Amino acid sequence: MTLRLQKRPLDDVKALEKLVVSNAEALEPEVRIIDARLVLGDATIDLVGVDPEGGLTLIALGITADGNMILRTLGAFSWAVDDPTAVKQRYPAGNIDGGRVPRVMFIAERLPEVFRRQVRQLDVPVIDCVEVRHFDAGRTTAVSFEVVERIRRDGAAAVATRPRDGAAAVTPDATADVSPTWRQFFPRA
Amino acid sequence: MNDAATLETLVVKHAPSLEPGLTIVDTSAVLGESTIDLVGIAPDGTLVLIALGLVGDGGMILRALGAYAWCIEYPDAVRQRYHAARRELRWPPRIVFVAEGVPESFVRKVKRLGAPSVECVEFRALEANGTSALRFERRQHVRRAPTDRTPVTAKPLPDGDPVAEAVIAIATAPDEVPAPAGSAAPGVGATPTGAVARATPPTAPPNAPAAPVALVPEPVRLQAVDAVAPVPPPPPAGTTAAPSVPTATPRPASAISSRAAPGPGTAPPATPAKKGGRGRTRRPRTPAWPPTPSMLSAEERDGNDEEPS
Repeated sequence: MTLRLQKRPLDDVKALEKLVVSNAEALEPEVRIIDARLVLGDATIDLVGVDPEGGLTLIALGITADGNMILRTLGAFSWAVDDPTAVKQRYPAGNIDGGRVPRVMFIAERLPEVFRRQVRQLDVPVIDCVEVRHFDAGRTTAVSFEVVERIRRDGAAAVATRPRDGAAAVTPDATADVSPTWRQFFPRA
Repeated sequence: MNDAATLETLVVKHAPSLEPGLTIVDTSAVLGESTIDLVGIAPDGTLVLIALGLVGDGGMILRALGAYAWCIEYPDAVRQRYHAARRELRWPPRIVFVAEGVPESFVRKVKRLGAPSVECVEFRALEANGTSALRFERRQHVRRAPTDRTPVTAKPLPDGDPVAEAVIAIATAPDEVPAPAGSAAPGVGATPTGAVARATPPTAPPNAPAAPVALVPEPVRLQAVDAVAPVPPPPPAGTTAAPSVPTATPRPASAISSRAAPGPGTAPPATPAKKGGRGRTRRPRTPAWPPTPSMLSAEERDGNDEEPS
């Protein structure tokens, strides 16, 4: 029996938000979404998640990623970095580690190259750009999250891995974070 | 400050006041998908991307970020584009935000940009006792080592001590020029090397400068303002007449177009406005240029005769 998938366009950001909240496990294992539309400073971030180590994850959503997503995330991130105790006090049951720098995730149906180019120049240690696709599969639906840009800045080395063009500079341990789909494009250690 | 265009004109005109030796090489430069307001080259060869705005906002950040990201991705294109300006460009570019107001939220976001050097400069147009002044005040300067982008060295400035980082600002004009009576656009004038445009108060004694200061007769100046203001009669006796060609009026390098209240010695008597037929106020006619000999005093005529043609 063959399963036929048909792409289903997302109507709006609210539909995307619902999709991400209900499939957060597929996005990142063991990530809990703890809040939506959180106002941090003068910016509103769409979703807030916490990973098992207590790291805060700021998630910005959009149908087509644009500068507004960058600005919102930049505002929320800078506020969370400047005042981590306020975020921690806001979620006392969230077990948030205030000493860890929040990570940022951009989720959109389309992530243009212009957007990704700008994201690479942000001073945020951990950034993931994820393309989301929604499918109709017979009587059910399917969601696919694909990491198209993964930026890691660790200490003195700034590393930006670009799965789509495998010529990007990649540290050996960085491939551990790459999804299996794209691992074939990376040089083996 | 009314609009960003005026601010752009001022910054272009007084780029050395913003940073000594800075040369503006491009305006409204389209770099990739972004349009950056000004592109300059520092004396050490570093490209400087300048975003302007009345109040620092997200649009400025996005413009600068887009232009910077494009420069980083396509350095050869940028070098080729500004090749004529300088033989060798230093990399990476720097970002400078110039705005009249820089909110705290804006500064907080700017600190998270990945450029190795990001500056926020506040622009102020001041006026006191008839003296106009421009001032660039550095509000925030984020520096990172080019190879290490993680540690952020931000130097916030205390609000109460503007002098602390006003190194690029408030360079008072070295020689004060007696300002002619009348008015000009506020803040338009400044010395080429200073960030401050000053107009000497009319009560100040006109100390004799080395270069002779030619006071332009009133009709010439007011023609430049499209003759909107009422035209006073010719200046009183004792005023040096200008050369015969108005466009070739020699102005010293530090000449200042300023706004100053008319002084007792130079201010012409106000022309009473005449009433028109329907009760409207009629503007007096602007005399034709050049002034006929009958319009000049005897001393002015002598002075003109003495000048070499």
